[in-house]
Amino acid sequence: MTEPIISKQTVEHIARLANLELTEEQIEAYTAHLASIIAYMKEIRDLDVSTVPETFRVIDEENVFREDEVNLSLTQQEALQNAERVHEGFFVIPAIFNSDDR
Amino acid sequence: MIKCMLLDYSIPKLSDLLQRKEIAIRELVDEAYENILRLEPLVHGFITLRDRSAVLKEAEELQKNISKGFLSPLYGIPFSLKDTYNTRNVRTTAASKVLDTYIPPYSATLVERLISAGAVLIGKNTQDAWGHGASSENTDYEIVRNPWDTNRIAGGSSGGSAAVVASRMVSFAIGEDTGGSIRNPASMCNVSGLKVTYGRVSRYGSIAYASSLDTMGPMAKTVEDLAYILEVIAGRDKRDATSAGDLPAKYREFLGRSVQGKTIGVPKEFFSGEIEPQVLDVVHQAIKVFERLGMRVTEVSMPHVKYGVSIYYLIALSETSSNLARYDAVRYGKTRKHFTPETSRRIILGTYALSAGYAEGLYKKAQKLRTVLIQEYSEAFQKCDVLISPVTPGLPPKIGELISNPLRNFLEDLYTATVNLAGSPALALPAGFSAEGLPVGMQLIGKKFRESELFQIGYAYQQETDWHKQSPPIIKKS
Repeated sequence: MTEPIISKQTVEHIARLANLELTEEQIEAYTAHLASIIAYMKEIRDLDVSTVPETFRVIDEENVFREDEVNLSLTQQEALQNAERVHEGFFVIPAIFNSDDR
Repeated sequence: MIKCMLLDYSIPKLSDLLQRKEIAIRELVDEAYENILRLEPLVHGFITLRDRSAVLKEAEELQKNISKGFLSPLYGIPFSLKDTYNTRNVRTTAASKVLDTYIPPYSATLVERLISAGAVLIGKNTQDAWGHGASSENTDYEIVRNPWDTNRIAGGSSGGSAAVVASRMVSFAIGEDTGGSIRNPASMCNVSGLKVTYGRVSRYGSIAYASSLDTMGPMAKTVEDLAYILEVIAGRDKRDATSAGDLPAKYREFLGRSVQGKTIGVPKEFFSGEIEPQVLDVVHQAIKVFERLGMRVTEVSMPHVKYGVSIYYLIALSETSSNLARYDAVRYGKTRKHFTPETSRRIILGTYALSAGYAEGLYKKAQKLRTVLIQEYSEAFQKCDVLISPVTPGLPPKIGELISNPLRNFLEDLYTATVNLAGSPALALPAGFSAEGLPVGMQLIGKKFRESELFQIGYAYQQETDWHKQSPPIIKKS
């Protein structure tokens, strides 16, 4: 496994993945803090758990189904009531495609 | 009878007084708001306070049905919610500016159950934003103060809920616990708090932190109160597929049963390392009380709990980076630049732990170590009925101490976080005070779905001790 080292570049890359806009100061500050936390977590890196299965959940239930019936839900107005921008009953979202892409 | 505040009484006692019409619901509501007027400027436990006249109107309506009988013991009882629970038409923020103007169009299942039972909602409590923290200082709103010493934190992340219960601003509150967030502030504010078994209470409508760890639970002055509240909020919810199928017990029936012959396990790893001596002393005194009650004490060992903080944070932060992705200012909320530094760091760490090249050694490794921990808890429970431990390694820190030190902030969860990884229930109870009068709690950890056993043992402890009856000096009227 790649040795986890938190560098400024790492934080910039991860911030992009996480859709976070960070300032230069924030990137610097977070890099240092994160480095210390990852260093602390070194303690588990050398533990050998190769034969142990992962735990994904701590409940016994699986495949919980319900009948395919229409139940009470939110009205359209309720669903839209907290949106910054609404257009004719739709949520307005940031553009995904540039106008140049066809 | 010594005259005291109505809100000093337990829930069943208040319910009895109400149903016999010795007091009216409006008296409880008025006392709550009087205490809030006096103490909230010092404590800052609320982000949103409901309008008093609106609540009094509700109280009037509820009062009409008081003689009808068959009412829930929670009928007419003032309560508050950590601001992590969607509450229809009441602003809900999770203590983050991202949701500063968010008015939910629906309520969490547990909120619906409490309102149906007739409980009276007073307001929404402050917390660490999104549950991220152990001090309630990671908030975009006013920092909550510990009612026992307002220069100190109330603990976190359910700090507001603990503080308002301790200050008698409400009878009970619902907190949320992902790595210790009910137990930590309960301990710091001298109240009783229950982390339920994962799946015992529906998570529907709760603002998610880490979906495999989050639990919703009551905070109140006594174990007895916790039992009554859990009866109302526990149980299967078809809107939460992870809510447990089996029926919850009638918890109040376990209060008062003898604990003779039950065994307490003392995990040796929780009693070594850097612990404040006064905390250690309090827990040892508690063990003596249990021995007096006829319980047996045995040492157990869970070697991997020392990695608990790392395992917990790798899983919790990975899950939170995913859960917080939904806050994109489209359907609700403000943009992501409003996340606090602590939250941003957690999102980055979580995203990192899940990212290509690192997921194998970080997130997946943590998932495997989780299996090891679950196994160790299981083995420990072969030898005992409940485990005992401190709640935090130290006394309640001064404001500013923890938030400035991210690593130390993490380590506050040392005794509590592995319980969430295992999915077990745990009770935090008042167990003593430091030389300076700061509360020190202790934790009892139970087998899964054995909240009834925790209540039985916790209730017996509270019959033998009176730590839980102490109230912070500031609440006394001058």
